[in-house]
Amino acid sequence: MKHPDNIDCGSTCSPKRSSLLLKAGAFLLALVIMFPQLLYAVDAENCLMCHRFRGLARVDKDGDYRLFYVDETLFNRGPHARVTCKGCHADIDKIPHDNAKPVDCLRSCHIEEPTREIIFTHEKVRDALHDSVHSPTSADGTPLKFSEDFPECKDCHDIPLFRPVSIFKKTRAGVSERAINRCTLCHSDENFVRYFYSHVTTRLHKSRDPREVVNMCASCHGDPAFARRHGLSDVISSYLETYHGKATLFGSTLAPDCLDCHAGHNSVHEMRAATDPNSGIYPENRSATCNTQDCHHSAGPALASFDVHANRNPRANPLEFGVGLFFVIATLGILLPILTMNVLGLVRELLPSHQAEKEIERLTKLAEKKAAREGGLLRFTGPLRLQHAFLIVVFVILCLTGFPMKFPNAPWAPVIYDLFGGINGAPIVHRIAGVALLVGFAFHIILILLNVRRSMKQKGQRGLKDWIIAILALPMIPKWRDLKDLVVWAKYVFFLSPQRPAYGHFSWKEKLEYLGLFWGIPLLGVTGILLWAESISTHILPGWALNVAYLAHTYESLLAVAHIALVHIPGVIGRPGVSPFSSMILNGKISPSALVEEHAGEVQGFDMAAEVDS
Amino acid sequence: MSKKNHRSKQLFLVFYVTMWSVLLIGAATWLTIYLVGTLGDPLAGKGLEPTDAQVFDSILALTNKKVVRYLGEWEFLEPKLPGHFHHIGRWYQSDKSNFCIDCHGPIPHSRSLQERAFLNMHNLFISCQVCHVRESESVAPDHFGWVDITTGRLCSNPDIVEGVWGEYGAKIVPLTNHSENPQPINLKEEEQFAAEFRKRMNNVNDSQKVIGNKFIHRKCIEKPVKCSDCHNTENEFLPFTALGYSEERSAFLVSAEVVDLVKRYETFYMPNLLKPQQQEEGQSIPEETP
Repeated sequence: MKHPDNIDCGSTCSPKRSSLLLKAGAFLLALVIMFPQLLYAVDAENCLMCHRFRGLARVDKDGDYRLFYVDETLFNRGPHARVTCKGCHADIDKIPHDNAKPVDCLRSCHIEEPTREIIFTHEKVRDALHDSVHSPTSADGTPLKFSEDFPECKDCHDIPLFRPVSIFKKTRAGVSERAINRCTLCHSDENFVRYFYSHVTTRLHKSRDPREVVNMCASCHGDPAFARRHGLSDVISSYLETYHGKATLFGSTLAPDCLDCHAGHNSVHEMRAATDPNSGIYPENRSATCNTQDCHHSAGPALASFDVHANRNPRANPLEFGVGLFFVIATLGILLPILTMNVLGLVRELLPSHQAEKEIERLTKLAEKKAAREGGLLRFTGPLRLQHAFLIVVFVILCLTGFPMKFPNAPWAPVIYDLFGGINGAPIVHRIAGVALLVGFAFHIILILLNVRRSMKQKGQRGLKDWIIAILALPMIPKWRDLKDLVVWAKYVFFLSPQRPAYGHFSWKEKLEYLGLFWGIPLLGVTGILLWAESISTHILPGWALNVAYLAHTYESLLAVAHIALVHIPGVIGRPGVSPFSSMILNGKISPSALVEEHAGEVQGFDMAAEVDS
Repeated sequence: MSKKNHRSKQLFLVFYVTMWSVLLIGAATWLTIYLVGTLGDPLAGKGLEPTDAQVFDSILALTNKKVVRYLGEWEFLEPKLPGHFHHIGRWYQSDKSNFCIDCHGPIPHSRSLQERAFLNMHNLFISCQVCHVRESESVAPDHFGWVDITTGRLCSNPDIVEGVWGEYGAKIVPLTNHSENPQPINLKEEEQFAAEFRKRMNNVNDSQKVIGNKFIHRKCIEKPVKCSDCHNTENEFLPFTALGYSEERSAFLVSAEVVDLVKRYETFYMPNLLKPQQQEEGQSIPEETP
């Protein structure tokens, strides 16, 4: 639900329209006034007579924009709703307000702490802060270097707003009217009941959304100059690259934000340095911090060596840098040469040699004859087409549920993710699709092996050596001829030779793509399962193995998608003369012209077969 | 015909090959930049904050820097003002119709230190001309209307209801020729000149700037309307009821509460009367020259 008082009428408001909007706004405002979250309005001094105007502002000589506006609707939706203006702005006691001091959040305000009827104060926060890494002074009171960088109340907090939670039967955001009705049966003041309900239930879950918490911490820790001054690493970007950070960006309130790991149990203000033995992230305490009932409850102590803030900085994280470097080199080393050659191949298509054209004409006639004789040229059998279709579906699902997670800040990411149920649904779909891919892959291998065994039986072969020979003889296993084809092709695209490569039934490109699956699927599968079952993984592997697994999974996924998107799909539908709507994917039949162009060697085989027949 | 066909096929082929080539080269370039960018220290190469970062933040806050407040069952986007504790919700609708704002901005008052925020607050619903401009120096306007702040055209009285504090999508303007065809005070010449003047700002010398400023502000009066001219119980400068304010609201605007508040500010400025020059400067019309 959008906050009704924040409807911006925009710049195209005509008077009549604006009048209508104003009426609507007034009506909505009235609704808001009646709305459950509006609780107390304490303005005995009538400060809002002036401060309710949005234009009450000035610019200081230093260029600071000072706004004196108070959004009363928003103000009344938070725990400060019962505090009078003077409760905080205590030194403002005359009009005009003269040299008002900054508000001291630790002062005693004019509200009674209900359990003991004493005046309320945030003073205890000072003690927690003083004992934390955010204290601007050392234990003996000496100001630290760059003490001005250390946070004051307003650096982390703006005025809090209630985030009530309904816990009647099921937990969800908002006020439970049924729970309220239970209270108002006895308590006559509904305003107080709603305030009390919101006050308590806000504290039963995260009182600030994890995204706001991360943004708050990032205002300092995401600032490169700040990080340099204090010798800190980039903890924000590294956190946002973990599943924790990404889930948070997608709106998960269950994923841990900075406070969940770094803040003490008694107060979020008890933030301690990683070198402090009392800190939750102190190496010896990490295991206990991660291994809680709400988080990785069955994880082994090895999880402690998982580095949440690892990046690919060669000095700080040489292992992660090495893994990243390997995949960057692998990805670019595979794709860039192929793409370069493919683009050159496309250019070569503009200027085909006459010699090649003549050969193509001859072979096309041959292939057409065979096609006429056999009712088409079957290239892929039914089971292969079925497996290919299965692979497409699973691959697309994996991309759609995986890539938003890889690029969570992209504007398209939440849109796609929401199609699969957002952060609570998409990861499950991703895992199901991943398992399906692994099962399909295993099924494919079993089919191949069964075929090999049948073939061996027919030939009366047995034993390991024969198995190896039979497997190496499979059509998708690269042969010496493929290397020769590659050389011919390179010469052709560089205009060094007029001769086109005459590929057999499978070209070296197709074999490379096919064998790529034997690298990519197991790698993605194994790393995916390790990350999925992170707690179990830590019983067999050290925590840092999950850092490696994450990197392998994320880099390999990009390699796979890039290969499919830039090499496979353009190679299938992007070549001149090949229709994007080729029906080969459905009926498995290839046109004679395409067969000649792509597998001239196979057509030459028709020629020889015809001679033998004759 | 066949030659034509051949040529069009060739052209199509060139287009086809070019399209795919550009697509693939672009994708490969992006991939390379992205992948190489994933390695190394994420902080390396990031610039330091500018020295006037705070001012810069303040400027950003007034333009497009917004934050989302996630509150479970509802969320909203609001401008982020550095160091501001209270929630803002949103900015007010900007005035597109008044050319004064092109130079002076929407927060023009800055010299009278205690009053300036109040005066800026009145900018929400009162145009500059009401207090600062006269068609004739000696004749104060006695008819007022509302101008749509988007179109700049005269419009009917907006609904002035509780809860919409000063944001009516329109501003009060002084009217001329009210008996026959009431219109806002004619400042067309000044407006056109000001627009041209702004364009040529970099090519005029200081003397020319003074002359230009004088011309633009030639209808501005030395002593603008004071707070107490409207907020008094005897003779209000602005006819609140005729402008659409309810009887209750009109009465409130001249009530003891408001009048007393205004008097307090006047009392506060009494010492300034001892410094006529400074006082005059504090009330002078053009706050900032372009």
